[in-house]
Amino acid sequence: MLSILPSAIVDGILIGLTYGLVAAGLGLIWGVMDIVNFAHGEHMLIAMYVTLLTAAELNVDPLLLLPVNVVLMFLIGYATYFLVIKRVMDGPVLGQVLCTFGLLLVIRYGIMYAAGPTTRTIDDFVFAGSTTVFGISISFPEVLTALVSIVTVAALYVLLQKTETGKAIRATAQDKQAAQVLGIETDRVYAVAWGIGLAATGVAGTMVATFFPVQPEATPVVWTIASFAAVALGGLGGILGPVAGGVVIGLVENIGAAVLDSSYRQLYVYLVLIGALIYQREGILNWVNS
Amino acid sequence: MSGLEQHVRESVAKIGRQTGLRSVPLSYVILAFFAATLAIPSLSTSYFFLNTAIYAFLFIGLGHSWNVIGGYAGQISLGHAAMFAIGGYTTAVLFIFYDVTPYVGLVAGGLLAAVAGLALGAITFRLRYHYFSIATLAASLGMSIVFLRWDWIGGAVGLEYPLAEIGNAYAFAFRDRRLYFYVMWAFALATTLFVYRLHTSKLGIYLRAIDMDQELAENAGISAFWYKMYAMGLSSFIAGVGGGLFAQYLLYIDPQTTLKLIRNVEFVLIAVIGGLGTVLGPIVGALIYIPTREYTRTILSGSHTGLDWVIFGTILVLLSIYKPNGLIERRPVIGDRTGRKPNSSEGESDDN
Repeated sequence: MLSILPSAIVDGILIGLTYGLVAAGLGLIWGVMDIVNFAHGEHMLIAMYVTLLTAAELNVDPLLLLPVNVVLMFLIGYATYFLVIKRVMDGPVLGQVLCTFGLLLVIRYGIMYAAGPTTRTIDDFVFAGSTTVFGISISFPEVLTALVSIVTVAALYVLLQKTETGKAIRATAQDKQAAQVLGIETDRVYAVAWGIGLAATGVAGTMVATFFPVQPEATPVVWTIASFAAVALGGLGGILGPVAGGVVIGLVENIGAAVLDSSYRQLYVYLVLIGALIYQREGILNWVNS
Repeated sequence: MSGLEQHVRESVAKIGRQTGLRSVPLSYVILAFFAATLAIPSLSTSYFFLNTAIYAFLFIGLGHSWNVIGGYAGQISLGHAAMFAIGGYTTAVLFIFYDVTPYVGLVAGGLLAAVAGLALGAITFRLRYHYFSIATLAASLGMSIVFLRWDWIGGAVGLEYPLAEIGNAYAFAFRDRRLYFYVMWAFALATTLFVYRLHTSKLGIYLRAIDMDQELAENAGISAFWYKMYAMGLSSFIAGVGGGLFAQYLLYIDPQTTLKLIRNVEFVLIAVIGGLGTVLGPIVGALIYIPTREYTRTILSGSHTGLDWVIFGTILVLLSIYKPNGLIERRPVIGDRTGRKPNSSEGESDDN
């Protein structure tokens, strides 16, 4: 029981960093325009399938697909904003919930229709293998994925804090009207935010496909819920909150699986998500007051 | 409260005159529809036709169920399958394990679903907008994880009705499919009449007030939390009974058919296609959605798995853009975005 705790902590932190990267993308979109992307895991699924299918058919190493997927997901995000999101922005909340839910169905079942419902894995990866440090088994693809996640998060942080684009995004998030008065094209800013948010899933999806079995119906929801929970924990203030939240979620999931019951690992994440949502908004027992 | 009461009475009088079809009284439309559809079993003996009709009428009731909480109260629940599944499992478990007749089991399932709905509401009604949607979705998906591993109720395999019981009146399991149709027809009629009453009742008006502007409703003395709970209890009861009927028709129940993500979407889809917060909405929605679903399932079955959901996903996106309140449009659901960010300077909606 306790002997597997150290390895659960290591696994939790490693996968948690990637949860954090995916959540940072979700949180950016959510924070900038108050729209929740229910299809976030499905967007990640696109990058996963590009990686899996290319690796299987053309023998391309997954790492070479990183830039491809980043660009592809950025364009998908940019186009998604102008084609769909822009048109529901000022409509009822229901429309905003349903439109990304519709995208979820289209992407998930489109992929399932095209590539079949089988579970897929990468056969050979340059960095495949694992080593044992202090009795803890560590797989190289997972370490590499965590490192790539850290670098990407750092790049996102710099992009948002230091560049003109990042300043425009933050200004628009703070006050849309004022940003427009100052000559910022808010539509473009939103589209770029969507692009960056989905590009984050492009990086994560490519890397995660190297060690994580992927199935169109089961995989996306894991990532969507994990990033919802990470954002609910970390808040919408910036990039680092969701990343910290992601690490916590990774730890909760893996320590829960090690100490309690590994078949309920997803359930621990759901419970943290619901708890975090309620606690953040109101205080858990506040409903008694009315 | 008397001023408010008077205002409610006036609103009731006004809304009573608003139907989807302007010139015909709503009650005539409902009665004509249900009288005409009684003839459905005698129209055709094809399995496909009757099966589709049975599902369509079951889902009219389930669409009403979601409409009460989602359309009238404006609470976009994405976890309604939880209550549906609880009702279905209660009915099945009571009969299979304890030999309790489903006539009792259906009511018990409805009541247990109502309790579950109230528990979920107590936790989540403090959340607004998409926070509420996420929490209800997580609750329903979390429940599916538990049910998949709960051995007592059959785990992932689910529960099957003993075949010897089919045709036995005590088991509420009929050999003749037409009897199922009349059961679903009665369920659809009862729920329609209930929503018809709700539409012009004080509760209905309060729910719509909460949907339009919760702060304003609170200031007028309406407790948003408790009226949402009221709506959730009623809505969940209907969903639970519907879940029980679903189990009785299929003669088995498992987590996959009752709790998967798509099941949560179906209820929403029916209400949204037809028209939110309208009496006729779920009827129109179910009559459009279910035949389309059954048809695409039959046409695209086999190798084409998933394409039907690509179609419905596309429909959902198009609806959210062009007809966010459904085909029978009456009013926006949470249409005013100014209440979303009290601290922002978004005084009025932009027109760019």
